[in-house]
Amino acid sequence: MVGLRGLIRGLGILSILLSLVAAVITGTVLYTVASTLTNLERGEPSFEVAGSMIDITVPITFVNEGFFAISSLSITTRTAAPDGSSLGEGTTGPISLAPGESTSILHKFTIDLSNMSPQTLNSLLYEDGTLALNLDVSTAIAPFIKTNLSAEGTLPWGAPLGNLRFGDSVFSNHNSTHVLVSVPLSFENRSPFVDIDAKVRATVFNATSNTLIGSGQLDVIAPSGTSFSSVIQTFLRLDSDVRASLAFQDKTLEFRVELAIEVAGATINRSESLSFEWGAPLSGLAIGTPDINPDSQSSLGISIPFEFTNNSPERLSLSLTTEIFNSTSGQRLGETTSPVTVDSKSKFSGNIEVVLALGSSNMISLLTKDTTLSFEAKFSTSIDGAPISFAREFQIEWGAPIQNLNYGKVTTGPRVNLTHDGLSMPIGFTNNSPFVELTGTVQVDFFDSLGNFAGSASVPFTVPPNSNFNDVLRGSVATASTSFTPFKAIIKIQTSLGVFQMETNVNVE
Amino acid sequence: MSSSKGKRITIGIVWGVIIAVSMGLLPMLLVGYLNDLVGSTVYDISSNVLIFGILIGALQGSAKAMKGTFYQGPLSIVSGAIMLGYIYSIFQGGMLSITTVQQGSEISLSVDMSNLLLLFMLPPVVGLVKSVVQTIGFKRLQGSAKKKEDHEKKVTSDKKVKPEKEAPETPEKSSPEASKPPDTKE
Repeated sequence: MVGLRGLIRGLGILSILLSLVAAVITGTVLYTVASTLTNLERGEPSFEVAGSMIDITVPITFVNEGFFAISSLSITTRTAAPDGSSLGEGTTGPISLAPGESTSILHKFTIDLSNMSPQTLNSLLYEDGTLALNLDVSTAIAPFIKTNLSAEGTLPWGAPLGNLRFGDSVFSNHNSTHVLVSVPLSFENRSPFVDIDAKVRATVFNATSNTLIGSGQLDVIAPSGTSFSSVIQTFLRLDSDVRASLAFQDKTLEFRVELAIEVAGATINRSESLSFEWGAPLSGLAIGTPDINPDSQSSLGISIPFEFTNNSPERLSLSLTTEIFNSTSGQRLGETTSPVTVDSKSKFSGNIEVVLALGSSNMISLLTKDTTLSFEAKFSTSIDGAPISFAREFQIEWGAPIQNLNYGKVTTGPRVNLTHDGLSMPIGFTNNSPFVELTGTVQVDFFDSLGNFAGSASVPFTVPPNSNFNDVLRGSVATASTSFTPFKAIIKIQTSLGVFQMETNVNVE
Repeated sequence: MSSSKGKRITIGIVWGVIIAVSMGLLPMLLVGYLNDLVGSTVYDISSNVLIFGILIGALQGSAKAMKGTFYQGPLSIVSGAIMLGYIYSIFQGGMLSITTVQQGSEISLSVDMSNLLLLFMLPPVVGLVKSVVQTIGFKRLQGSAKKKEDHEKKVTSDKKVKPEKEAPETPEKSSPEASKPPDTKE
C-alpha cells in the first residue's frame, strides 16, 4: 500500500514539475521573442537606381537578449503596383542568432522596370498612387515555436513624371527646306527617391501622310522633388510643295510626335498629337487683272494689282521680283523689283508696275490690230531665307486704238488766196482699246495725179478708250493741182504709241 | 462529523469558483480587454475555453468537496480529460493566429506552438494517470480494509466462545491507513 501511495505522490510531484517546466519554457520563449522584437532597429531605407533596377535597401539590426537561439530568421518583401501586378521582391536570410548576439542585415528588395508591362510602367511614371507592400518574417525558436509574421501595408508612390505636359508648339523658319518646331515639355518629379536622368527622343511624323519629317533629342535631369521645364527643338523637313503652300495658306498643321523616354534603362514610348495654327505670311494672295498704259513708242506699262494679309506672328519685309514673259514665244518682256513691308496681322494692297519692252514694230502693229496678249508673270521672293516663287498667266484682250479707219471725198474751195483753195476731208476711226486714251494728230498730204505736192490738212485728236473719232481735216491745196485728180493721200496718224501711216487715192470734188 | 462535511463542501465550492473564474472567465475577459485595447480582434479565443474552464472548476470543486470518497478519483479523471481539451483550445490546436491592423497595415502573426502544446499537455496527462491510479488504489484499499474488518469480527467471536484459552488482548484498532481514503491532494 505504501508503494501505491508513493506512486500517486510521485505522479503528483511530476505533474507539478512538468507544469513548472512548461511555464518556465513558455516564459523564456516569450521573453526571447519580446526582447528581440523590442530591440529591433530599422534604419532609413536607401534607394539606388542602376539601369532598369531600383534597389531599396533597409538596414535592420536584431539583438537577441533572450535565452534561446533564434534560427531560420528570414525576411521577404514583395511590392505590387496599384493595378496589382508584381513589381519585385527581395529575401534576406535565413539568419541564426545565438542568445546574447546581435546582427545587422541589409534587407534589399528590387523593383525591375524592364520586366513591367507598358501599362504598369506608365501608371507608375505618370500617376501618384500607393504600392502594395507585403512583408513576411519567419523565424523559429527551436524546438518550441515557429512564427510567421505577415504584414500588408502600403507605400506612398509619387510619380517621377507627374503632370507631364507638352505646351503649345512654336514653329519658325530655319532654312529653305526645314522649319524649327519647339515643343515645351514640363513635368514634376514627385517621387521622394527616384532621380530622373533621362533622354527624351522626339520623332515627328506628318499626321496625314504618316511620313517621318523630323527628330530631336533632349537630356532631362530632374532630381526627386523638383520640377522640370525645357523645350525640345526639332527640325521638320517639309516638302517643297508643302513649304510653298505654307507661304500662302493658313492651315492647321497636324503632327504626331513619338516620344521615347529612356529612364532607368527602360524605354517608355508615348505618342502625342501636336497641332499648330499656321498663319501664312502671304495669306489670301490675290492678283487682279492688269491695267495697261502706253509707256513709249516701244513699250507698254503694265500695272498688276495684288493684295494679301500677313497672318504670321512676325512683321514681314520682303523684296518681290516680278518678271513678265510672252507666253507664246517665251520672250522676257520686263522685270521689276518691289519692296514690301507689312506688319503682322495686317493687310497689304498695292500694284506692281512693269514696263513691257515690245519694240516699235510690235507697237505699230498693235495700233491697228485687235488681238489677245498672253503673258506669264513670275513672282519670286524669299521669307527668312526660304525662297518662294509663284506664277500667274494673264490674257489681255487688246483692242486696236486705231480701228475702222474711214475717210470721205476731198472737197475744195473756197479760195484762200490767189494760188490756193480751201480743202476739207472727213476722217474717222474707232479706239477699240479699253485701256488707251489715244492722243495725237492726223495729218494728210495730198499729191496730184502728176505727182506734184498739192497740199495738206491735219487735225489733233484725243480719243478715250472704246470711243469713236470723227472729224474733218481742213487745209489748203494748190489751185493748179485741182485739175489733176484723183489725189494721192498719205494719211499719217501720230500717237504716243507710234506713227501709223497709209497711202490711198481720194476723189476731189 | 457533519460540520466537517459541511466545511469540505464549502471549501469545494470556493475552490471550484476560483478555478472556474481563473480558467474560464478570466482568459475571456483578458483577451476581450486586449482586443479592445488594440482596437481589433487580435486573438480570437474560442468559447470552449469558458465552457471548459467552468466545467473544470465545477469538477475540481466537486472533487475537493468529495475528498476521501470514491467519487474524488473519477471526478479528477474527468477534470483532467477536460483540462487537455482546455489547453488544446487555449493554444488553438498548436497553431496560434493573431491578426491586427496597425496604422492601416494588416499584420497577421501565426505561431506554430505544437511542441509547446505537448509540453503543456504533459502535466494534465500525468495528473490523469495519477487520478486513475488513485481510483484503482481506492478500490483496493477499500476491499482490503473490509476483509480485515471481517477477519477481526471473526476473531472476536471466537474469543467470546473460548475466553479461558486465550487471554483477551487489547482490541486492535482498525488501521487508520486502511480506512483512510487515498490522498487526493494533488
